[in-house]
Amino acid sequence: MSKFKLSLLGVVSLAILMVIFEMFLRGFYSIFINYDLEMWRYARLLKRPVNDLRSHIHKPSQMAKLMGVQVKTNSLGMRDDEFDSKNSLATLLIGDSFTLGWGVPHEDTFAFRLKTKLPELCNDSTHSVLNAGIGNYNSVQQREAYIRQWAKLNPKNLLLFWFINDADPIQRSHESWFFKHSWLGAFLIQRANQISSFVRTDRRYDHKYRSHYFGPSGEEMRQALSDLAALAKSNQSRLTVIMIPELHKLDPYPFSDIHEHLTHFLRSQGVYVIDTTSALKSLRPRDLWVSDDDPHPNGLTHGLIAETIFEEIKKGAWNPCR
Amino acid sequence: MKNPTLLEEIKYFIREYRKWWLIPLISVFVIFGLLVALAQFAPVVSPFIYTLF
Repeated sequence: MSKFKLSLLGVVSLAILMVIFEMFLRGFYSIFINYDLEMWRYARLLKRPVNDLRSHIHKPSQMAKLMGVQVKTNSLGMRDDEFDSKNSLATLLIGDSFTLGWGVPHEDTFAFRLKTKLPELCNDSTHSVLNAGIGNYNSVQQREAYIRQWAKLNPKNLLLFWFINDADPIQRSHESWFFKHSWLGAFLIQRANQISSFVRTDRRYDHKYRSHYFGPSGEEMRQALSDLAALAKSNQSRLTVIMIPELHKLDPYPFSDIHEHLTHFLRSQGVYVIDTTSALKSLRPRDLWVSDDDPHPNGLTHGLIAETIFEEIKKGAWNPCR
Repeated sequence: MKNPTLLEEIKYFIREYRKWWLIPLISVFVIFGLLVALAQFAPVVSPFIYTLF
């Protein structure tokens, strides 16, 4: 067989293999849900890239089944009911995929629990709550979104749900068509990330989070939180930060120094801080996860986070009802 | 006499009929299978990464 024919055979075989793998992945992962591929689908189905510091926003009025649960956005691009912007907004929830309620049915999210319980605790049926959580947002993106989109809603309270990866630098999208549109491309790049995290300890979550927090992007995060506190104040609003722990290991919690450091910083900025770590410590970390391959908080964890916030109100330590 | 395993039969087939081109093909399938298994069973040690659009 000539070299040309051999090369042609190789290319055709490779193309056929790729089609087979693509079809297999689509079929297999429609039955066995995989976190990485669901996140990739989330980006494709519900997010839209933008050319500013936010890097992406939610598409308005869209719906998708992700990680086994329905996620529906309203006309403002929030995972929430429609809101008439002429009405006054009492509480706006800011955060990332945790606040969005990734992998958790809408009714089990802490956002929904706050929405239903705060009017009762505040003895004010008009106390409205909106969930502006967007997956993969860090603090810099949250500040940018507040300035561009959310400040005009005039919320009286800003509740920012902080997670340690809020100090990560902003991640950029892949330009390649193969990685954007092919399940095989997404699968291969995610397995490469997974293998590199195995082989190199500096690429594991604990090293990454720590180095980001104490690196330049951590400095940018603290600046963004400080700016948000000042912006909220200038808009007759108030920023409160609720800390959610990293859920791989809770007792002893390996990031307690970071939580203490940030709490100290935020208090120096006049921000009230609620740390939910102690409410989750007694449970086995895996019981708090959405699934074996997804350490996002599940419905139980969302409930415990919401209860911690309600306790603060009942104790009179914090009052979002003004 | 012991029956040959599937792997032994494949090895025999490739050697006897000189179907060497099957080796890369089978290797790709094996690697792909290992990657799928890795995704299902490996412990989660990577940070949250979701970069793709």
